[in-house]
Amino acid sequence: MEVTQFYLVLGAVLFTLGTLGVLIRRNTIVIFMCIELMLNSVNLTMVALSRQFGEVSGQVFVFFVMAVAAAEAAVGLAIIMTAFRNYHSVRTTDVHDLAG
Amino acid sequence: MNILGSTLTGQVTENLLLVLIPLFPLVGAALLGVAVGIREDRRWQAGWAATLFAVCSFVVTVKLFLGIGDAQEAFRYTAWRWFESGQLSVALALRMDRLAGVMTLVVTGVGSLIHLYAIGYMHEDESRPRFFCYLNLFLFAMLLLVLGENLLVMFVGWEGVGLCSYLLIGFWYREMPNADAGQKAFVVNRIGDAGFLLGIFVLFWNLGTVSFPELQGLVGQLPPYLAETAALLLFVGAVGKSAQIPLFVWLPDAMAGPTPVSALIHAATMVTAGVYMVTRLGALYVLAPTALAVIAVVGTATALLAATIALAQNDIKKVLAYSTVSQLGYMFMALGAAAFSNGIYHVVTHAFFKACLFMAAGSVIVGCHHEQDMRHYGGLRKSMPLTFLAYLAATYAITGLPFGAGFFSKDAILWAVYSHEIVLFGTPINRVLWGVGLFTAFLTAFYMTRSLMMTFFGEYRGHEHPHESPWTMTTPILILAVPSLAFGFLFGEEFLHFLAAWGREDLNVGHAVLAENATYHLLEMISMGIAVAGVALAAFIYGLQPRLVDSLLRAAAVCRGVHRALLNKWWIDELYDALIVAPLRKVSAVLFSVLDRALIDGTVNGTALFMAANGEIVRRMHTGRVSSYAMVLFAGTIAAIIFWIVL
Repeated sequence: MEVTQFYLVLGAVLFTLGTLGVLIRRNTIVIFMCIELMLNSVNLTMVALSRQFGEVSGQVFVFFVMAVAAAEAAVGLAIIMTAFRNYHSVRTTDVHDLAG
Repeated sequence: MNILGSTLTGQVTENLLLVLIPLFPLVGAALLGVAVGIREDRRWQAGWAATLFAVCSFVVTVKLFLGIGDAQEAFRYTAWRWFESGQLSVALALRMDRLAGVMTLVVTGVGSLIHLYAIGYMHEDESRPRFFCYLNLFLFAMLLLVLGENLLVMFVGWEGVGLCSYLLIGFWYREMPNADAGQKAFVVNRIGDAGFLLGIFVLFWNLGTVSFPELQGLVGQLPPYLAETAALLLFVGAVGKSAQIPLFVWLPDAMAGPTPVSALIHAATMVTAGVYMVTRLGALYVLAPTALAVIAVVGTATALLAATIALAQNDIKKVLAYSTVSQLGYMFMALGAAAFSNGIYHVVTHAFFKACLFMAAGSVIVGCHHEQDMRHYGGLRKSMPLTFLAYLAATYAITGLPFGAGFFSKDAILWAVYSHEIVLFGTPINRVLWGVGLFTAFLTAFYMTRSLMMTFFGEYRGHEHPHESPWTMTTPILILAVPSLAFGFLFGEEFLHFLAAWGREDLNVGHAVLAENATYHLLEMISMGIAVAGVALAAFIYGLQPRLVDSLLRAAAVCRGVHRALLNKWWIDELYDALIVAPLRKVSAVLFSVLDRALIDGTVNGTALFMAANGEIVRRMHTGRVSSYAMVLFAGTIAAIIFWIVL
């Protein structure tokens, strides 16, 4: 019982850190890493709860999240590469062609 | 009045050939319209192509005309049902009975000759394909007008000829007066068209049909006041198209167009559309005696007014233009006396001699290097013998000298007016109208002889060397000179007999029988004498005493005043300008600044400005920074969660 709580708190802390990173940081790679952090914090929460309730579906979900995260990492890194080629920068402040 | 004889039960013959008549010029117009931009060295083909289409149409017309039956019969062709709305069902249908046949024959016949003439007249113009495209298009519209089976098809043709008239008057649109004249014609005609449309509405609203054969059987059901209303409204349309008082002002200005146009549209065919329309609806008009009296008065007044103006004009085309207005007035006189066939008789003879006169005048204009002022002509009979012969023949016809075409048709009209009780406001006025008509005949003889003398006799007063025109121009005028002289003599009686269904029965007895009538004989003698007097007086003044007019003008102030009034066309254009055009302009200026500029533009521009200002505010949300979007997303999520928890 008590052990699960620690995991949940750790998941919440990691999620908050990830969110803050996404909101505050300007470097797309760091933002990207923060997104991964958020995904994994959710994974941690789901695994912990799955363990506590003896429910497998949570763990199955985690596998899906990991698969999607892997695909997303591939696509995201490709986008960052392309953006770098065009703007010679990976900072979000330098990529703002859609500014109104 | 056996005008009512042709009823719904009249035998109707379907005939595919009928559709070919308007189709030929339409195809021609389409082809030439595509070919406007052809190479310079191939443009001469345009005129010949257009003429070919016109002649084809004429040939088909002759073929059909020869097979035409008695007055109740008609060739009919229904292309398709045009539209249906409530009880109104309108077919795009053509119908050729005797009346339409005669008109079609004139339109395509005279039209073909004028096309041929135009080849010569326009041979230096670089936009010939455009010209002949319009000319063929006009022919199509006119044929639609004449052959239309119902009022709406006629109206399409009616508007079509108006459009072509506008296009051709302003054909040389680079010069402002020409473009203005075209616009004037269009606007003035529009006033008449409004009346015409209202007339159609009255007929449809009360009788539920616009088809001519059906209307003919149904008009009897109209209460008298409605018959009068419809007749008068339709006559307003005729007033516009056929240049009667008060809407005649556009026709003299229309002479700004090329001369073949003046001959075809503004003398022989389009301007007679009003006469044709009234005749077509004769069954309605005989039920509206007041409307007929109005028509007679308007026609007579127009005939007189235009003839007086023609006395003093120096531009040869202006003389002929006012003469046309005057002769159209004559035709309406006949209609006013319910002698519709006599009106059409004059339409036909007038088409011959007036087209001939116009084309001869055009030949003179070309021969004198585009000089239109008769004071710079003179003695041209030597340098332009063929044109002179044609002009002489046509002048003979229009002045009403014995046995010319105009003699018969004009006499028929005067007799019709004299012998028919025309009552306006309780007073019979037919004798007065007859007297005015006779006086107009005198004026006609005078001014036409004046133009003949000034142009072809005496000494040449111009500077350029005049020359005869090419055969493409002289042939049509010489051909038209023949019926101008002989038509009334050879076919007059048959013609009136042929159209007997559209005439008064008492007039339909034949010339021989009428000649035994002492009054008729006397009147004929009088009008003959009048014509001879007019011709002789003009020949005397302008042939033998060329200084007489000048010395008269110098001697008496009255003469000078009258002369100035006539020369300035009784200041009618100025009057219209002051009474109608200028106030309209002022009102428009106010409406423009208040309604258009302030209200409408203000609303439209204000809406746009409002939106732009909003956009200025909202666009700041689009920072282009991913982090700010993420912040909004995050804040939104938080807000949604709070919202969900709280509620």
